[in-house]
Amino acid sequence: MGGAERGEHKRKRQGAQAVTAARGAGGSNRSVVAGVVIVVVLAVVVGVGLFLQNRNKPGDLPGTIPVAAAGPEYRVAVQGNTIVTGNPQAPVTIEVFEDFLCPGCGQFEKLYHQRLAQAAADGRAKVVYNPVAILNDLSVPAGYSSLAAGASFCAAEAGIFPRFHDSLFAAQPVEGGPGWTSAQLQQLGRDLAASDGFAPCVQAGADRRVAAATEIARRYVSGLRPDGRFSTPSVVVNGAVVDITDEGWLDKALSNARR
Amino acid sequence: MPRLSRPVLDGLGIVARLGLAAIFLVAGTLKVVDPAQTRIAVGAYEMLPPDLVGPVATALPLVELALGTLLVAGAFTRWAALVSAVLLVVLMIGVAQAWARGLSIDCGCFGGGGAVARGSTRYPQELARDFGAWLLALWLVVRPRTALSLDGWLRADQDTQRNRAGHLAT
Repeated sequence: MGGAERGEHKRKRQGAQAVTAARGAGGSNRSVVAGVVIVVVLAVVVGVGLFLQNRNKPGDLPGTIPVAAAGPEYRVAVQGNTIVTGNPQAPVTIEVFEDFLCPGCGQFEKLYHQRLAQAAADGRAKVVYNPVAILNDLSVPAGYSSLAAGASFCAAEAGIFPRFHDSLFAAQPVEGGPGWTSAQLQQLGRDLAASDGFAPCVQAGADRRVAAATEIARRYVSGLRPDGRFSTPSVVVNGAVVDITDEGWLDKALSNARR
Repeated sequence: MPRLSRPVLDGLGIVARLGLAAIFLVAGTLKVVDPAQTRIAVGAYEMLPPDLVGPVATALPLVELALGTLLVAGAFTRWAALVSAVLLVVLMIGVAQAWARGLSIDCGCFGGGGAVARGSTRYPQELARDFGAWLLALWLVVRPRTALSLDGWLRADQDTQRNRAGHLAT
């Protein structure tokens, strides 16, 4: 299309539009209508977005960690990178690998912590807790898994492990949200009447110890599994990984040992 | 090089416009429904001070949705495209710095995001995709005129009014 032709085309079009306008058919306030429509649509889109964000947002954590009720009393001892509870001479050893941020671990605790505590208290089982940190990147700020796992060792040394552990799982932070802070963990220790060393122990942190414990646990559990994977929660009964999706696993573990 | 006719260019424009709009709408929607994951994704870049991670994770999907909406309608196309281009450059810088620093993350461009196993990063693909979107935005900045746009509808209206004014004056 040549320049002259284009110009001709344009003139014709303008002429046609002028005629239309002269007939009074042209909308006069299109820009006002369009402006209003766009503003309304944008407001609706952003509003719906904010609504969805708020609906799906992890809830804010309270100022202090709610203290879990006291359960059955059992013996607790720190042994290397593990927390050994219950009867060391029991015929069944149940090793539990947990990350304090892992939702599956929260679910596991909800389902089994009472019976595990009872079995430990009755001396029917040696229950070995392995606090590990594999979800450090999933809290904002990062690192709650390590902080909580480290603090659980402090709690075991300060004589408050059972309720400290239960409290953290009962009030488990959500992935993607903030975790409990060091100060809040220390406060929980005070609420549970921890011995004096607890607060400084949590304050100091135990990232290296937790990292080492996690690595050892990873090698141990993945070596026991045919697929060579390590995830939390994992449970090992007398040296064999058990399928905890089978709800009877704990009864089986305890009854097999009795026989 | 033969000059493409206006309808062809307008047609290419609408493809660029709707393509870019689709990218932003999908990306924004997937992020907005999972704010927790979006925070993780934004935090994983390790670019922002911790206090800014939350606000950015909240605002980013809303901005994406707004840009997508404007582009679908073809409203303020040049401005929407310009903001898109700037946003995409920022996102590409984020991915590139993660790559350069040896972080092991998923870009979280379309939901998801956060740390991934070493060796399962996809930085080149993510950058290529962002660059493709950036080219679409660039087209619209240079030539914002597209078929079936609100801008076009308003332009026609203005032409009409100008012509009417001219007609009455003569």
